[in-house]
Amino acid sequence: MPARSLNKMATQACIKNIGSILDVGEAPYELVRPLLVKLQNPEQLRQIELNSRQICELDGEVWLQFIKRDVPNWDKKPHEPRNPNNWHKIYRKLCAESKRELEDDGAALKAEMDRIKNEQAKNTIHRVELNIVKVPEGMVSHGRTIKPARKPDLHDRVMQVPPNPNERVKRGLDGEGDRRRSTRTAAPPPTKGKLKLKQFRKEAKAIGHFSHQQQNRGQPGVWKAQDMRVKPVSVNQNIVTAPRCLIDEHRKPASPRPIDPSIKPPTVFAPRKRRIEHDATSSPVTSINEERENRLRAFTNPSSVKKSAPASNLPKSTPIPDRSNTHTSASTSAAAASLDQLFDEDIPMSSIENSTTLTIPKPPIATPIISPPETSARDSPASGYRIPRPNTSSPSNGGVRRTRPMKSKAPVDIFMPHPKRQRLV
Amino acid sequence: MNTPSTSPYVTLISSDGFEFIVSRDAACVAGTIKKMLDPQSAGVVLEKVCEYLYYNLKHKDAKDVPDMEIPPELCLELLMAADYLHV
Repeated sequence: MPARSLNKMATQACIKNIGSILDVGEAPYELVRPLLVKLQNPEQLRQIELNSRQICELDGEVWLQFIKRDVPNWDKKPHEPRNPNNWHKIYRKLCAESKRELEDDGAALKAEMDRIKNEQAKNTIHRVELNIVKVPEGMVSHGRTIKPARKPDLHDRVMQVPPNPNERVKRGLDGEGDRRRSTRTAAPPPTKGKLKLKQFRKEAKAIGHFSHQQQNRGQPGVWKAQDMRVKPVSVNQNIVTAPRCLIDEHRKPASPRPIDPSIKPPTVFAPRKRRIEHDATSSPVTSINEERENRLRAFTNPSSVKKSAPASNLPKSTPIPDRSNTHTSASTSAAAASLDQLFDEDIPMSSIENSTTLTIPKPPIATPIISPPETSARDSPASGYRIPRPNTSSPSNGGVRRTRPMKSKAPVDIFMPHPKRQRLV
Repeated sequence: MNTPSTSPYVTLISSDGFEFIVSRDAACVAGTIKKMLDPQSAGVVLEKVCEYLYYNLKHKDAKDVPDMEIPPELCLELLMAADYLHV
């Protein structure tokens, strides 16, 4: 038959509703056996037994199933009753035993854990009240923390002389004497040995601090906030001088600034004795100057224009800086006259307009040859650079060394309407 | 099987035609007979059995037929009836 038997279908329906079966009536054990093995609750099985006595004798296997499930190590214990009716009793007994064992194991584990915890607690760090612990020298207890006896400020730092190793012993004695006099510190006066040790430590710190400072930043004379945070300093020295390190630094000769090799000093040319010998190989500077001369002459004396007429007897003083000086006041005719006098010694004096200004025989020698053209940037060929000078005084800019050359403006020559930039190489 | 209506005696008839008249209490010692004598229960269970018989016939030639519906309160009794009827 393709359809299932009613027996099977009914059994399936019963298993589906097994939670509510408490009585199988007069049904034989064999009939309900597939049902009973599906039971999950031993209490329910007991009920069925009570209601259907015919089940009791044969349901041992069902009880065994429960025992296997619920009792660990069941096979090591006596688990079969003498009377098969008493399977339920066996089950209860074994369950109670296993529960008791579990509790015992749990208690043992807990005890072990507590023991380990206690041992660990002994090894932890605890806070200790400072009333019990002796406070180190120079420090004062503030409840739960310790602090230096007196907080030093900037004034203290400036006034304090860093300890000199040579004067260590002497200072120690003085320190003791001062301590007796001063009443500010709260710590008791230490012994001589401890005092010396303290002094030595301070020296090391001070030296290390100052040298460290110079190494790292190279800006002596500039203090940062971190320098103001001072390590604890003895307050017993009432010495009023500047720190030794600063004094030494101030006194030592200023180190020559390293010159950037890429920066070339402006080339200064010695004046030529005979400008007539001007040839093609002459430097462009003189050619420029000559051009300028000519133009100037053209402005002042349009009638007589001479090109490349260098003066034969020039004064030793170079015309360059002088001319620059005179250029600034070139509006005056006197300047023009003097200029003419400078350059046109071959030209007869009659060509000069104003003879009255001849009383100015020689142009004022403003600057020596070697002096750098500091006034006019136009005239110096490499005008963007400054000749480095030795540092004879404290740096004016706070000790900052210029590492890059100043940017140079294009030299503007007012005598040349369209300036050609001819740079000296 | 005879199911008389509320008289103190019941008649039990075997398959080969023998009839036996016994008191109801005596017959109810057997749980199965007792249930069969219960008019309510017996009728319902019998009705289900008949339903099953028709269900079986209907699906005689087919395969993978879904199971018949069995209400939970009848399932045990139906099991017993099926066992008894060898169905």
